Amino acid sequence: MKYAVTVRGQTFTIEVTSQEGVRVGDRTHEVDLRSIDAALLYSLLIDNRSYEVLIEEEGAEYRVLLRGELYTVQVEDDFRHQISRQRRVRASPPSRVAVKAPMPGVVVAVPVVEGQDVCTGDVLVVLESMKMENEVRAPRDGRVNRLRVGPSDTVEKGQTLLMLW
Amino acid sequence: MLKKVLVANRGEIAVRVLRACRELGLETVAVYSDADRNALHVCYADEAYHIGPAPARESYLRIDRIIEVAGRSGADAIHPGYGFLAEQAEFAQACCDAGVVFIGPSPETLAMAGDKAAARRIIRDAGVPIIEGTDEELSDADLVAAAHRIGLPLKSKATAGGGGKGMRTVDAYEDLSAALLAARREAEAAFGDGTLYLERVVEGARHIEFQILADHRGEIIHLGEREGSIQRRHQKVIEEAPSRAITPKLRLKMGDMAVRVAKIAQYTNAGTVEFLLDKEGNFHFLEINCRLQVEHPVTEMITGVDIVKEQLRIASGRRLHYRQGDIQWRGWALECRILAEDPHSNFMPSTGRISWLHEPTGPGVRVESGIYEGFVISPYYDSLIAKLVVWGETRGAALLRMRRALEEYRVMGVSTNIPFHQQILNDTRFIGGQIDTNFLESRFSMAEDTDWGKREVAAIAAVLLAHRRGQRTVTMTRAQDGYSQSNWKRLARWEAVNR
Repeated sequence: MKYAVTVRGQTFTIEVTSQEGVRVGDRTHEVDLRSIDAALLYSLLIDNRSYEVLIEEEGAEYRVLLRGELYTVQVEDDFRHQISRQRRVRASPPSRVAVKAPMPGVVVAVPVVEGQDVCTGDVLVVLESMKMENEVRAPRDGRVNRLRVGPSDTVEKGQTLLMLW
Repeated sequence: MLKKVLVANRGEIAVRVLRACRELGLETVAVYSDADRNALHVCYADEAYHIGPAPARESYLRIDRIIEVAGRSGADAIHPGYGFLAEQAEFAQACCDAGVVFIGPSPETLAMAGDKAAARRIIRDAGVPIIEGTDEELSDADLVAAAHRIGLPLKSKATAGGGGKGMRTVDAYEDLSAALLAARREAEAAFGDGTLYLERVVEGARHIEFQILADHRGEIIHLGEREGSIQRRHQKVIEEAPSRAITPKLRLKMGDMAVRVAKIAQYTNAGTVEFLLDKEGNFHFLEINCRLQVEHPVTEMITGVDIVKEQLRIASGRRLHYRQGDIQWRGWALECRILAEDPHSNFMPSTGRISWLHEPTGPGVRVESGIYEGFVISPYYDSLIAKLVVWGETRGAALLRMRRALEEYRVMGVSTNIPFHQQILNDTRFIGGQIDTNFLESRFSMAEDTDWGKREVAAIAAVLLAHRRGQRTVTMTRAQDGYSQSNWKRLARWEAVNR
């Protein structure tokens, strides 16, 4: 079974050849993944090199903690990956983007107004979270539409703050 | 001696203080907001009292409620920790008025040191070198005028400040007004006081601070220096003691100066005198921190002095346990602040439930933690979730130990800045001790990844699990078919019955 595995923008093609074997590109490895606590903790041996990993599953995404570094890993079977990649190539960039709160917090300031034209990188909303002010910037050029928040509003992570058309 | 101590704080520092109280056989009282009912400090204390909604302004900063809890619980002393009310003269005075011991300096000292611009004036007049800047309350227009006199680059600071709130570095005059506006707003929100002062930025300077202990009989000693030059957004990230930049001779000189500053401020209890050490080896007074500091453990590790227990001893009116001559420094200590933020996406704060936690242990490792597995990190407070402290015989040994400990640290559920620490600890300039307060901002950048092999290992781990899950789905579907009827059969029967 062949998989397309994406970690931080890099895609590995990994074939699971047997219970104990994988092929990454043209290299084969002997592997052994064992659950330690029947929850998140695993022991992984790759060609007898020992790794302790924590793996948390969320849909098709896996969060893997390895020696201090937390990776978000997308696993797709290779066939589906090819199809979705073609679809992505064909799709044009969206004409409207929702600017969402990257974290929960309180709105401190909204330096833009409805209908205002902004450029990539302009500050749209200032959010306070964990005592620090964080600036939410425009991901691209556009006009501010459906501005939904104002100062001292509490927002949840992922909540739409405004639209850019 | 004190009998019952209320800790007016939360998180790791509340736990640190509660532990010291427990070791001394003191009863403990915790306070908590709506967001912290399940927090570690509440579980750890003997008694816990609710003081209000989640925002700090309505709970941990409510002097009236905390004093009221002290009365209700019969606490005879209050430890403020750091942050929140720790350096507020008004709070120390309220404790005094209520007949409760405030574990910290007197309200007068707090008022004097708390107005940082005024403190600069007093310290300068006593002959201690200070950095060029402003010493009085000024309007924005006057600050802009003063800025032209002081020169660039410069820094705005909150007179009521601490923790980097209200601090902005300004490199161009046209940015000044905007910076002052943002700094005032931040200071106003953090301290309820938007007064600012300016200070020239000393390029290439190191942040050196001296730990002070002072009892009520006028005895003052110092416990040597800490270095906190590794800062991001004016917040220290890694601290160490001693400092590579301090020779025994300079330690003696700066230590004496720190004691002198403490004397001028009529300081009592534990405090810190902060200096900048410039490239030429000249030191300049920065400010007095009238509180237990976040990074106090590194001093404890190399001196063996338990600073929190000394605080409790001093507050109960007893003599200092040590004389200056008793203080010996042994080995090297490092502290990494573990913050709930994602270093790979611009240090965005990260909140959520800690789904898995394993803290490092082993020789020379100390973890000051405010979290546990299952704890939910809320957006209301500081992102500091724990401090990882190590000791080694030499700086090199401490560095290697810290790397090992960071690798052992396992937190799932929220992102942490552990990878950031790992990269700093792998930086040759940091290893060589070539650091200053601009190190992180100007000469270090978080690399996307240092180890491509690690990515591949992560990919293999995920794929093996996904593969296993896929197989299990298949097996489970089959198993279910064996036990129950298929939907087709069920539908046929339903139709037969309802015909």
